[in-house]
Amino acid sequence: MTIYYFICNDHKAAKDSVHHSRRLKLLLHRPQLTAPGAPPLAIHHARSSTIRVSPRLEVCHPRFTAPQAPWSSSPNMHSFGYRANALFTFAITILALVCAMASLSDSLNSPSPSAHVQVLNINWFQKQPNGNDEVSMTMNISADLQSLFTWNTKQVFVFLAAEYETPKNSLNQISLWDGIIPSKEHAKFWIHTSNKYRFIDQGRNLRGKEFNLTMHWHVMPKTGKMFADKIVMPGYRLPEEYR
Amino acid sequence: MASIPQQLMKAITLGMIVGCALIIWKALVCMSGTESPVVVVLSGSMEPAFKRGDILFLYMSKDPIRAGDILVFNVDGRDIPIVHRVIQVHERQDTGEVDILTKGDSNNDDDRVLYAQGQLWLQRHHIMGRAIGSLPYAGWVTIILTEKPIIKYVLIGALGLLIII
Repeated sequence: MTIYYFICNDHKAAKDSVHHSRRLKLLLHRPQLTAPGAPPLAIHHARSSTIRVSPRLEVCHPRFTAPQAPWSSSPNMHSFGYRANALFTFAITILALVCAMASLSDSLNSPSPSAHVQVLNINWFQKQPNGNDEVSMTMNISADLQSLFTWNTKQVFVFLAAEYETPKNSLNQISLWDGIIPSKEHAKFWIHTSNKYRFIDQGRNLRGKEFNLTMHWHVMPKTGKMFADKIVMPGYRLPEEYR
Repeated sequence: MASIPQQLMKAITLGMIVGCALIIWKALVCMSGTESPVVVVLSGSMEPAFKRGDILFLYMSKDPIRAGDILVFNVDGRDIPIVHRVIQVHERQDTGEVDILTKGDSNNDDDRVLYAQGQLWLQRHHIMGRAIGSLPYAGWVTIILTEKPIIKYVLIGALGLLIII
């Protein structure tokens, strides 16, 4: 005797009141289990379609669906909340992807910038009361940074730093001037300025000091990774004596 | 009201979501080498580069700190970290330690007014990380939640209600 054990979750069959009361159906191959007087149950294979065996008893699809756990709740896939959540997640993912691609496109750019600095005059060169040397100078700064700009560039931050070595410090970097270039048109410039920020040493090492003037730039993107590079211009020298 | 096993399933699902979020956050902390790999810009002192409400991605490597780096640092006695650019670096010959001076791009003066009383330089242990990338406007949610805590309580209450009901 084979026992077919299946759970009926066919919505059409649920309309029949007989089925409403029977979530679990046991179908046996023994003819004597039919109602007395009714025609015998047709013996059908597990994968057959619906067979009407009596006017009142409707057998539902004997599919072998996996037994459904009685405690799980199937969510409504068409509710507003579900759709809004799916849409929002998709939108955020696509946005992140587009931002990443925009940032990647920056690496395709191969820039060729140039810069030149001329120190016109040392305005004064003194020892401060706290014992540190200080210099003030006037410079001509010219540069062409147009090749750094891409469509994803928000601005380029450029600054000029004096770099030198002392017995105590292996490296000193002091920013003398900086500027923000907002667009490609402003990227080719020539300015005549004294140092914007004070050139003060940690000590009294600046007399006769040789230093490099390095032009650094930081390309700031509208979205994504920042790039930075520099041009080193060596060969500048401070005077031997205070003035 | 759902049955007990249904409620348990909901609680387990919620626990798994929170656990996944925590794992992702800790992995980020590990990869970036700093305790807060993502910060929100609160002030306008680095405009026009970083506006208020932008998100900054931080990364801390053993590379030496050089002029021009944008650093996020903590000042002793202040609880909110500051995001500014390095304008002076003095690196010692023997130990490799650095003295750093910073300044916000749109500020006129350097940051000595922001440092602790009597402090002239920053050292490496003040630095939380270097900014390597940014995402505009993405931090406004955090700013609104921090400055109007009512919205935070309303949101958490609504979430709690959704879970219970």
